[in-house]
Amino acid sequence: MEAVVTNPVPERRKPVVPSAVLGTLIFVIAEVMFFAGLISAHTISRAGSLPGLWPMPGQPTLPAEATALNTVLLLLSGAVLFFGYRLWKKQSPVAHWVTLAAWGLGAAFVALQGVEWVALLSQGLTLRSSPLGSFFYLIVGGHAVHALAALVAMFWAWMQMARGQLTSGFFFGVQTFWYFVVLMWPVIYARVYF
Amino acid sequence: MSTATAEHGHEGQGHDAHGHHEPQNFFLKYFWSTDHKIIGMQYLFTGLAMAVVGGFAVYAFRMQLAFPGMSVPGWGRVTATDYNALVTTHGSVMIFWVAMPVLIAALGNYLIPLMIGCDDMVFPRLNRLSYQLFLLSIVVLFMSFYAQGGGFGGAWTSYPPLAAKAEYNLTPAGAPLWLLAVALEFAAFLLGGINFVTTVMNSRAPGMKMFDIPMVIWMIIIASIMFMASVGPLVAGAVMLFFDQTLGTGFFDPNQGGDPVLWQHLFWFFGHPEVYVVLLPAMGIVAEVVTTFARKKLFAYKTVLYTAVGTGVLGFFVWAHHQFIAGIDPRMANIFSVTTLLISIPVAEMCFVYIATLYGGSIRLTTPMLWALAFIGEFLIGGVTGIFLGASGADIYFHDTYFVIAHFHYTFFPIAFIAVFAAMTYWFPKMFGRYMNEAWGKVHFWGTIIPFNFIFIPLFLLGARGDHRRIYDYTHFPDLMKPGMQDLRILATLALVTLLAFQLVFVVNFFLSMFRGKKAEANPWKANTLEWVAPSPPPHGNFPEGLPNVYRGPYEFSHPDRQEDYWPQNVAS
Amino acid sequence: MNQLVLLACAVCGAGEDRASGALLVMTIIISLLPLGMMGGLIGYFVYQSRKGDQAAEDAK
Repeated sequence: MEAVVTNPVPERRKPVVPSAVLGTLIFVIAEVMFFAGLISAHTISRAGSLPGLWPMPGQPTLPAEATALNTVLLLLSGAVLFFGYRLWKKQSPVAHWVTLAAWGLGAAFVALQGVEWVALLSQGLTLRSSPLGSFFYLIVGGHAVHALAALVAMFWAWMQMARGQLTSGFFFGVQTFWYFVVLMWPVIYARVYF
Repeated sequence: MSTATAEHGHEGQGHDAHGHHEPQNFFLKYFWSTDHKIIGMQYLFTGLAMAVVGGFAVYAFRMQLAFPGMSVPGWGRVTATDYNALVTTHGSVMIFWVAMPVLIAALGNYLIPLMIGCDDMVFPRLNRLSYQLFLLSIVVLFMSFYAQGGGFGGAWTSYPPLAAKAEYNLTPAGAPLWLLAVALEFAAFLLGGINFVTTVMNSRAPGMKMFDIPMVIWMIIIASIMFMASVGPLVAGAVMLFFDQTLGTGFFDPNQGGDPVLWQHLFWFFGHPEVYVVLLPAMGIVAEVVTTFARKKLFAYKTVLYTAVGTGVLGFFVWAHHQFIAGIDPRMANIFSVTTLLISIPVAEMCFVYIATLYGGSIRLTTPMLWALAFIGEFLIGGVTGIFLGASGADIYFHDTYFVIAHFHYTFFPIAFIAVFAAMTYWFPKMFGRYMNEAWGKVHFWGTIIPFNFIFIPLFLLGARGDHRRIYDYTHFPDLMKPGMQDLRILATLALVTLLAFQLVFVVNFFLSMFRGKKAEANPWKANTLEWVAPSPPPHGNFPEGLPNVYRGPYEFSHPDRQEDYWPQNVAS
Repeated sequence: MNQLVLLACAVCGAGEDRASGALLVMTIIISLLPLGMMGGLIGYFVYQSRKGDQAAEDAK
């Protein structure tokens, strides 16, 4: 087949934006729309409820102060990952340790959220106890699922980075997805917890 | 070849399978292939097979409407539960499992790499995964038909509380399975759409500028972008509805503090852009066919492109016109009336551009051209009746009558069938290397178009008289039975049976031509776009003589300086 | 059923300005968000391609 190629392959188009980057960005846009749908549904339901009933009397209020710590951890994780990326680009030998630190901060966020869920469940806020509970577990749970998936991918990226086999396309995808998880959280935190 | 592609920043995945060895095994070749043409064919044949399911469903429930209580041949007596399930199956199958896979996935997969002059999609394995998810969604859909309580009967719009509560819809397993099937199908098209956009942006043949991309490719791209930008809120709503069905939450249940109208917003936020998602590829097909058989340059390439983008943008601001009587704020209804009437402008403009392209052309009335011309005519009727429904005052009267049914079938049938038949007859020589039989093609054309109008013109008349679309048996409501209405229902049903019978002509012609048809050369229609450069059918890797170079736009027909009346995109001078 | 659950009814305040205001604001946000994001992506793409063209010309 190569013998009859009249149009030499080097003339192929150089991608303006690498395919992995473009594909990931489009995927993230679709994901943002998913959370936009959830948050708008929550906002409309909440605005339609009668005054003084959200959260309902007798049900726990969401621990906004305690969650502020988680929020800081998650934002820090995003910043550390970006720092790790800069180091990796400079081929620094400590880059993969910085990336692992970002992973650790992210994992701490998910773990602390889990602790918070257990406490809230024991206080009587369940998926079926009130619309607030339903929306809380749905939105925060949806975010947690994305965070867990991103953590798995980030761990994989760390292992490849430690072995020196990481491709820039894959690392870009992981980073973009993690930044999406990180930046989605403050919006959720502001809309759901307050 | 694999090293060359890797050097050029392509995603290496799957490309190494190219060129050197094709999969030999039948299973690997037709079911596990990453070749875009095979995946396109898989989508095409699956979509057409699902059209049989959707067609059978409409046959059964139209027979019940025309002859209430009769035992329908092939189904038996249609009970009220059956009727609901059949209507739901018809609607959801025709939209999600016929129009979407055939117009976007099949044509997108088959045509994009060929028409932009590359060897395969950017993410071939993602592409294969997309089809596998789609197939899984069909398996889940069929499971829902045979689940306890039968298939889901809450209409394709799946409004709660009917869809959310098993005690209302009586399908405790069918409803969640149906929702799961729809969700899987969306995941499949999300992967497909990412692939399409990335491929067109990054893998175009050298020299192909943005305004050299054939119109059908642009339309598929704009439609994919619209789909991916609008599907998120529906998936969010679907998760909420799924929780309502299975975990007993009350997102949409007023008894538990939920809001049922919220689902309608989340659904139609996707549901209306979806209409344009399927319309735009159909418009693109018509642009290709009309220019080729009028031997004339597309009247205004950039105008069509910009109006398509304009349709895409406006398409996000019209959804609440489905809810004029759902108790939404009247101020919102006013805004959405205005945007709905506005969106007819870009769509009409596309139709006018095609008519202007025909003006003064050397028109050849081949089968694909007949389909394309029929698309313009029939779709215009659908568009004009949409104006009645878009005005919120008139919609209060017309809502939930057969007028609505007739309106959206006058848009949807041209999109999902007339344009698809235009595409299949036009690209058949490329797909299978043989011509389709023209005479039988024309028999099929007239046998489809004439009954089609005899189905839906009676429904317009019925709807204008107030025939309600959700009544299963009018003999139960004698005071609503006006004289003559049953005759119109019978006329529509007989026309439907005729239309379905004529599809056999197509099926026979399709398969006979595939094996026995006259051999077709590489460029049977003397068209300009790049897919006609490849041999018919194109081999693995598409362009055995090397990837083409592009020198001009796709519609240079009847150029005064040329002896031939066409000027392929890849010919230097 | 829990009596308090009934009190949190999302449609009970639906006619009030607070609720319809929220619906209107969310309608605007959710309609403009996809267009804004896609517009941003297209803008980024055009910016990158212009930069690429510039680099190609500089190389000549």
